[in-house]
Amino acid sequence: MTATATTAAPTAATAAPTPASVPAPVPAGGATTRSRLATGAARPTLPVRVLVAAAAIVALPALWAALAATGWLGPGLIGPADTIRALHDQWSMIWWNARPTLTATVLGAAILLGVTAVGVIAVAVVPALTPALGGTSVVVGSLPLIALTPALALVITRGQTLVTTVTVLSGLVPVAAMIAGTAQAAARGRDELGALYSAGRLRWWWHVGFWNSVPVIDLGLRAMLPACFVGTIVAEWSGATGTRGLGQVMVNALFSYQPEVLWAALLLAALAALALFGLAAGLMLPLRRRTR
Amino acid sequence: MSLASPAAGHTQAGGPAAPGEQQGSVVVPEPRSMRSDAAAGPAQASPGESGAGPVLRVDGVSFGYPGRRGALAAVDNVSFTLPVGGLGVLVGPSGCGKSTLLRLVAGLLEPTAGTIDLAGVAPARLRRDRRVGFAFQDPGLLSWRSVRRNIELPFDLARLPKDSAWVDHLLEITNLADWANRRPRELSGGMRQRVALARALATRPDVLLLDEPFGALDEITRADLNFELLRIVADTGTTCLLVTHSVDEAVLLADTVVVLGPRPCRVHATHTVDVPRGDRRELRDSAEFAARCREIRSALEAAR
Repeated sequence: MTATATTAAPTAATAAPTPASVPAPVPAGGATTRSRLATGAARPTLPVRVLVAAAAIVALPALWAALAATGWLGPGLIGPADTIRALHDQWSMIWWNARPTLTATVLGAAILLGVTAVGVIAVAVVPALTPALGGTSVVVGSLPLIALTPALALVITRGQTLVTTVTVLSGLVPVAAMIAGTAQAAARGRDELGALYSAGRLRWWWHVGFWNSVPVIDLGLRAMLPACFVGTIVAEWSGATGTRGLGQVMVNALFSYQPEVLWAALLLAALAALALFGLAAGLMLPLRRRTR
Repeated sequence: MSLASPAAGHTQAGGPAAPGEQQGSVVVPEPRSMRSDAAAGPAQASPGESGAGPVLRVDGVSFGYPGRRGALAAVDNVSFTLPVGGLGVLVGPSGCGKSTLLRLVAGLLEPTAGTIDLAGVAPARLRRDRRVGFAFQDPGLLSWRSVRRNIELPFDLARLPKDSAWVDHLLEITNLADWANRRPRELSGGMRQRVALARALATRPDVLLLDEPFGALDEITRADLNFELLRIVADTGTTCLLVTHSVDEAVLLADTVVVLGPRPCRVHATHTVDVPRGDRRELRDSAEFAARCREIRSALEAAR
C-alpha cells in the first residue's frame, strides 16, 4: 500500500459522479422529468387536482339544491337557482349594501397585512415578543365579537370605523398565531448555522428565516382574509354600521321575512370570502412554489 | 469511479498551487491558520506524524448543560490532540456527548473547564473569523436555493464577498458541478450530504467538523462518500474532526480514533491509524482493517 496508488487514477474519473450516490446520468431535461414523476407519486397530477376541486365545488350546491328540493327544512331554505335569481333581481340593492362591507374588509385586511409585515420582522429580531403575541391572540380570540361590538359602539361612533375595528379584531387572532408561528419557523437552524457564521437575527431572517416562515404565512393569510370578512358581517349584524352593509341586509331580510334576499346576500358573502381566500392563495403562490 | 485525486485537478482555484504539503500527487493547500502563523510550526509536517507541529488540542474539557436540578454533565475532562491537517474521528455510544464535544470545538458552546485551541487559536476566535466549517447530521439544505446558492450561504450569513472560483472548485471536488443549478429536492441523499460538506468548506475553514454526516445513508453510498471525504480533506488541507457510530468508518477515515465512554463523555482510548490516506481503499479489504476494527470495538465495549 503506497501513496502512489492514488496517482494512477485518471483525471476524468474524478469528475464522474459516484454511481451509488448520484442518480444515473440522464439526457438534458431528463432529471427534471424524473423528479416531477417522483414528486407526482406523492401528489396527484394537476388535472386530477382540478377535477377533485371542481367536484368539491359542485358537490356543495348540489347538496344544497337536493336539500331544498326535498322541502324537509321548510320554505325558509331557498335553493341555489332561486337564490341566484334573487341575487340577479336585487343586485343593485345588494351590491349597494355589499360595497361598504367589502371596503371595510379590504381596509381591515390591509391593516392586518401591515401588522403581519411588521410583526413577522419584529418577532424575528426580538423573539421575546412571541409569548406576548401568543397571550394577545388568546385574549382577543376569547372575546365574543358579537357581544363586543355594541360595547365598542359606546366608544367608537357607529359606521365604517367601528366596522373596520371589529374586522381587524376578528383577523387579529389568526395573524397573531401566524406571527408567533413565523418566529419559531424563522429561528429553525439559527442556533447552528446562524451561530456558526455569527449571522445577526435580521440577516438570518432575510436569507433563511423568512423563507422558512413562508408556509406559516401562507396558512395564516388564508385564515386571516376570510376571518376579516366574517368579522365585518358580524359587526354589521350587531349594528355597528348605520344603515348599509351586507350583514345589515341579512338582518333586515330575516326580520321582514325575505328568505330569497337573505340567501342572495349569503351567496354573495360566500363568493366574496372565497375570492379573498383565492386572493391570499394567489398572492402567496410564487413564494410557495419557490420554497417547495 | 475512482475517487483518487488527479495531480493538477484539485489545486486551489483562483491562483497558483498553494505552498503546502504534497501527499502522493495531491497538492494540499496550506491551511489558513498555518498561513497566518507561519512561524508557529513546521508547515511540512505530515498529519500522521505531527511531532511538534501545530495541533488541534482539546485539553481537560468539561461541559454540562444547565438544568433545574443542576448541570447535566455531558463532557468530562476530555483531552486529545490532532495534528493540523489531520482527520480525527470520535466514536462512542449514542448520547455520550460526541456532538456536544464537536459543538465545543466549533465554539458554539463554551467549556465549563479546560481549553480547546487550534494552533493556539481559541474556537470562539476561529468561529468569529469564519475558520470553522460544520456539517450537521441533517444536511439542512434550503429548498428555495440551488445547490450553488446553498454552498454560497455562509458568504451571505457571514457578510463575506462571494468567492465564486472557490465555490466552482468545491462543486468540482464534490462532483456536483453538473448539479449546481438544481434544487435540493432533485438530489439523492448522498448528494445532499456532499452539498452540506461543500457548504461547510465554503469559507475555507481551518477546521472542518462533521456530525455523523453519513449516518442516514446506505452502506454503499456511505463508503463512496467516505473515500470522497478523504480526498476532499486532503485536497483542502483542512483539519477534520468527525463523529460517527460506525467503527468501520472510523478506521477507514481516521488518522486518530478517539474512543469515548458513555455520558458524560470521557476519552477511553485513542487509536492511531498510521496508514496513508491514499491506501485506505486497500486497507478496507485487509485483515489489518478487521483487526483494527476489532481493537476499537473491544475498546468501545470496555468503555461501557
